[in-house]
Amino acid sequence: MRRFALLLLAGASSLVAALPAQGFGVYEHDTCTMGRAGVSAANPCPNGSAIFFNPAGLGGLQQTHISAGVTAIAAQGGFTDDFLQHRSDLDNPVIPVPNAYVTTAVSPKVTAGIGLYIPYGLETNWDSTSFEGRFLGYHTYVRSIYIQPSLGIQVSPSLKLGFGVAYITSSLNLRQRSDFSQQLVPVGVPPGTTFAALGFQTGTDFADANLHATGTGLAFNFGGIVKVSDRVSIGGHWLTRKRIDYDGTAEFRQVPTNLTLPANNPLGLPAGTPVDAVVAPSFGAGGPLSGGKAKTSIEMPPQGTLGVSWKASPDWTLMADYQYVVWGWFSDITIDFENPATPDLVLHPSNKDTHGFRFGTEYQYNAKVKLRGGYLYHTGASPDEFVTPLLPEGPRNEFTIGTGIELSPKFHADLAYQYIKQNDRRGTVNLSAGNTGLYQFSAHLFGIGAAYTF
Amino acid sequence: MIRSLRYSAVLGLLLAAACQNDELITPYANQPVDPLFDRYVALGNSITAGFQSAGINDSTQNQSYAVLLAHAMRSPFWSPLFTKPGCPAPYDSLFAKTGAPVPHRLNPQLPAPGCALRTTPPSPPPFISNVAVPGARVIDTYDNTTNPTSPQLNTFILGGMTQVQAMRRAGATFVTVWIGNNDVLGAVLDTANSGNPAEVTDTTLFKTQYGNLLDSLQAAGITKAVLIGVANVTLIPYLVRGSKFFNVAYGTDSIPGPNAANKKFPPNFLVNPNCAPPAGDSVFVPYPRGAALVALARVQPALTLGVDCSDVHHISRAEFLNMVAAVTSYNTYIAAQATTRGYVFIDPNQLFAALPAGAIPAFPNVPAAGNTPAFPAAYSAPFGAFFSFDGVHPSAAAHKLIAQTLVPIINTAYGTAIPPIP
Repeated sequence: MRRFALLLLAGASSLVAALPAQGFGVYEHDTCTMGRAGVSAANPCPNGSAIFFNPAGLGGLQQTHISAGVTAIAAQGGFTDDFLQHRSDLDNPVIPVPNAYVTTAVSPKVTAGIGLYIPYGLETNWDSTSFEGRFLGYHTYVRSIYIQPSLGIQVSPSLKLGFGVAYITSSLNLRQRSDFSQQLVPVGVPPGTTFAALGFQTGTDFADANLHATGTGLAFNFGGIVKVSDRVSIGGHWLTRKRIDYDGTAEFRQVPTNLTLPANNPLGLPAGTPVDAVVAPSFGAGGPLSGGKAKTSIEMPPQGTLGVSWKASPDWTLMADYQYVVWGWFSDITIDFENPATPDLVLHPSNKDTHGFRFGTEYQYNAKVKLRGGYLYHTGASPDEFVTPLLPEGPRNEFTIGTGIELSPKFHADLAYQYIKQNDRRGTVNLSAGNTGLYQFSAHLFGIGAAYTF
Repeated sequence: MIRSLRYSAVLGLLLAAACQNDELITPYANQPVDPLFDRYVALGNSITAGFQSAGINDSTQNQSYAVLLAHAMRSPFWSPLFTKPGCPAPYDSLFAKTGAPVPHRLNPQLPAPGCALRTTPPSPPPFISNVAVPGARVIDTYDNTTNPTSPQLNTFILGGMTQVQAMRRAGATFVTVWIGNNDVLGAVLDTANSGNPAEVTDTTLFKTQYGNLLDSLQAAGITKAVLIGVANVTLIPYLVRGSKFFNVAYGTDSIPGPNAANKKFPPNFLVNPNCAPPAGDSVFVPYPRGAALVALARVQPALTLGVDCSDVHHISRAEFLNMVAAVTSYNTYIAAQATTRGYVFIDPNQLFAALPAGAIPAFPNVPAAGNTPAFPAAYSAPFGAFFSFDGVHPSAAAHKLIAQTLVPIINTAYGTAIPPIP
């Protein structure tokens, strides 16, 4: 049963590799910015969201702003296998991702603020009993909450600089099944023989694993905005790499197979011996499936954005951002299981750097209403050989619309809608089998936010 | 204008790249010819499993009529394939170069447990479609704990499941069931007393067990199925009538051979007059006790060998009649149940009838002493073209014939359009 631990770790490796990839990333940290496809590097929305998008945007922001919002993410998708063309659907709930910012002008040139946002806050859910990829993972949950105090300075009429320190509290959860057919037969057959070679069918659930971990870390976010002319601004920000140390537990629950061993079986056990009785000791104290503490550290890579804003007319602004995330820096990871029966594992994720191209616009429809729209495309971080149920990720095209309404001189509301269409991508439900089907994914995002200025 | 066109072309290329979708890769034309065959599952025994020449491996398994039928149906179908040389390895010869009756397997040097075990492909099948287990009797299809006939193969093919459980797991929409032969064949293969009545499943018990199996099919929602009855096992070339020995010994008949001398028994092979017809017509001599001894007598002239039709190792007339009566009773019951439950019944003995004349040799091909002159048929097809080297199980050619026979029967019964198997 030691092999089970290895399989679990394979799943854990999937989780760790999936964690930072774009698919779990949330960029909708503000409804105003969401409406213009997240474009903000050179021209952040004036509501405090610059704390994430570019702290330099705080520079010169007058008065006190309190803003809050939530993005509801309704994702749908599925996996269709090549052989049977059987489709398994994602069973994701609507996920609310909140954000909140408070800023206040310390002086005409200096503004301080603090923001709360969740750049990783998604989950994937598949049927735990029938989805063929449940042995890699049927429930994956990642939530990283960033709390970031920041400072923005209007250095000169044409230059703003900003800086913030983000405290990160993160939690992970992976649930997966384990397949009895992949376990090693301990006796009676040549070493290395699995129960599959004895006829136990692929997909015979015998254990349910639940890995949960939490961690904290720090990251630094800084940026600048240069006002090239009255109509053109250029800006950028850089969020540094961040190391998160996770501590958690691994729990295992036995899943009844209700199978029995026939007579003359290679294990030398009497006919009728329940398979469940054979594996039960592995779940007991000291067994490889007895569970225990686990810990790991994840070095999240840096990301940056460079953008331009052009005020085409007094009412019309066009903006574009290029976003770069250095997922390729994501290198070695060690997962340390406290249970000595469970071997540690060193992983070598091979994510790719991602590139995002965002185009947004904002139109002052009248004195109280702004209309927004945008389009973005970004590449996927997962390499072709690692598109899994944990994160069936791929290149995406996204379209946004939004509006901002001034309800009163002090009270402002924003609404936005975003449609994500991920390119269909070949992926795996069994790492040893390679890509054996097609993942499809899309999502509808609805954002609502409000800001109070005084 | 030209510049605008260029920009448009570049923009179009970029958009195309941004929307590049991967696609499914279908490994075969996996749209069944009829929705009925979305999940075809074959239940049965050694024949359905693809057991040949006293062994089974991925080659023999893929020659099973069930595989051929599934292929014609274009049904997704997975067999529990055994790594070569097999489990056990099939015979590749029944005779040594000297002509001595020494069966040889493909590669007898198998590590424990004497079985090459299942293949474990990188992309494991989602389910097993051919759930047949060599040696299985009717009861074994739904109960693998009471007294499984071949527990090792039952384990290696189905893990801890029964055939019915594996069928349910596959989500069968259509099944073929060819089970019951071993409820009588076990008597034939009893090495101490071939034809032993104790090895023939009591007809009342058989009906109860077969009824249980059919209840299980119905409980699984199987509304359309083909039930293949029980074969008259005394037709297999493994058995030779006692009268054949008598007639050859007394010069009124002959056996296959390379020349006139080898169409006769050697002088040291004696046949008891009690094998004379008509009594000898109803006595059946198993291969190891008859034809194999002819080959042995040819290479060891000093030995005196022969056949005595009163030998308990042979199937006596009473035992023969008992088996025929059992098979008749079994088939009567299966046919009636098929009618009651809306299934199709096929008498497998009509499959024997579909064989070309002389396809079942009355006497196996045995070599001349020292293989002089050579008699290649003894090495290539000792039991003819339609039976494998054990004289019991169909050869690849017979499996093809079985599948070809089943196609029009299924099409007629269920209005489907399975194409002919060429």
